Amino acid sequence: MKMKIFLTAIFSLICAQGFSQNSFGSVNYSIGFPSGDLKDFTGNTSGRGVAVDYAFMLKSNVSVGVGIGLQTFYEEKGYSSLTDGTQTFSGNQFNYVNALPIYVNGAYYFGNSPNVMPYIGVGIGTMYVNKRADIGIFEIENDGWAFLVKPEVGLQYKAASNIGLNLSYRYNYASDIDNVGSMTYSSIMIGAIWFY
Amino acid sequence: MRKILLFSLFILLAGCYPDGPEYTDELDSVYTNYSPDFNFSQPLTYSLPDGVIDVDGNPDNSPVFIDTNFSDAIISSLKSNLNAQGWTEVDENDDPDVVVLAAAMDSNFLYYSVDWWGWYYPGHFPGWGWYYPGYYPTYISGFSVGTIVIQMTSPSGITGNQVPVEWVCVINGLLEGTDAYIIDRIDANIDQAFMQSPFNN
Repeated sequence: MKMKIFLTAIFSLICAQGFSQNSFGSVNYSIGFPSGDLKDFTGNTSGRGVAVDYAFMLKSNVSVGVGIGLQTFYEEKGYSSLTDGTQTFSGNQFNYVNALPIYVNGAYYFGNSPNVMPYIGVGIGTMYVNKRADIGIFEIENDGWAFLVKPEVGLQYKAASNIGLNLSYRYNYASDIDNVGSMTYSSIMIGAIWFY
Repeated sequence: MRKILLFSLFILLAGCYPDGPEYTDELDSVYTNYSPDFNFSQPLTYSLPDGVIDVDGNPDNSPVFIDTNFSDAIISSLKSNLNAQGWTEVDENDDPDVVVLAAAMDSNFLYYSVDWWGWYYPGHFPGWGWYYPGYYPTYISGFSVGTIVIQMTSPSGITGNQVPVEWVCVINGLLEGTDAYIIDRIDANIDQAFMQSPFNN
């Protein structure tokens, strides 16, 4: 049911875009910083991330949009032993997490400069998470969908009439998933914007 | 401009998959499980055969043994680890407390019965099976290439036609590299098996 409402919201936004005069898309490179359960599983900062966003201006200083991202976390845990009751399993452990946030977004823009626009925003949606531990030739894989809340602060710089740059900080809160945990992470986004 | 952005996105996504194991030995794994009721910390006598059976899926055949290069490495590593527990090797007919049996398989796991050991196991009758007192070895049916299964059994606990397996060890890895490299990995993995509980408790 949640998914149905979410998809309806995305569809509505895409339809509404047709009536908009001002819209923009962006592609961002994302550096991910794991926290909580995710940090326990894969503690390394992730340089493997990307996000694609599309938004249109409701007013001169308010936008709504949709977006999708992908962040891959990885850590080589070295030789480890997992014990459960009387059984023990040892081997080199390689942990992987792929997080795919999908969201609707709202943002508010400050300031009077036509070229530099600081903003705050919040997104809600879902995050698909695939979590895998490889030990020897075995793998333990779990996945699931989390509820996502994504506050964001950032800065847009309009370099030309239809080209700009984006720099932002996002906190991707993901609710707990059975057998996966909460795969919350924050990210620094650096990307390009094109304005229509 | 948009094409450049989409191309950049493609490059980013293509570069998204992180590294993994680089060397064969990084894929080795050691699984052990044991009976919670068996006392491993007492000085025991043990016997073990000179060969390691190659389980080839046809129990009607006479046992086939794996290459002596590898079986000697397995047997000698087992003996040194068992002796390090303060245990004493005896002949299989001298009433050993435990009988340690090693088998190997290089394809998907094939169920094999005690009958494979009929030529060795003291007092064996055809049709015997294993049982795992107080535990069940999770990975017993999920083996893949290059598997060594070591079972420590106690003849005094045989009931009916069931041989109790007090400790089971499954070593798994890829059979690649030189013989010396494989033997080094066998040694290291058997040592690891003995470092894991219950011997290390």
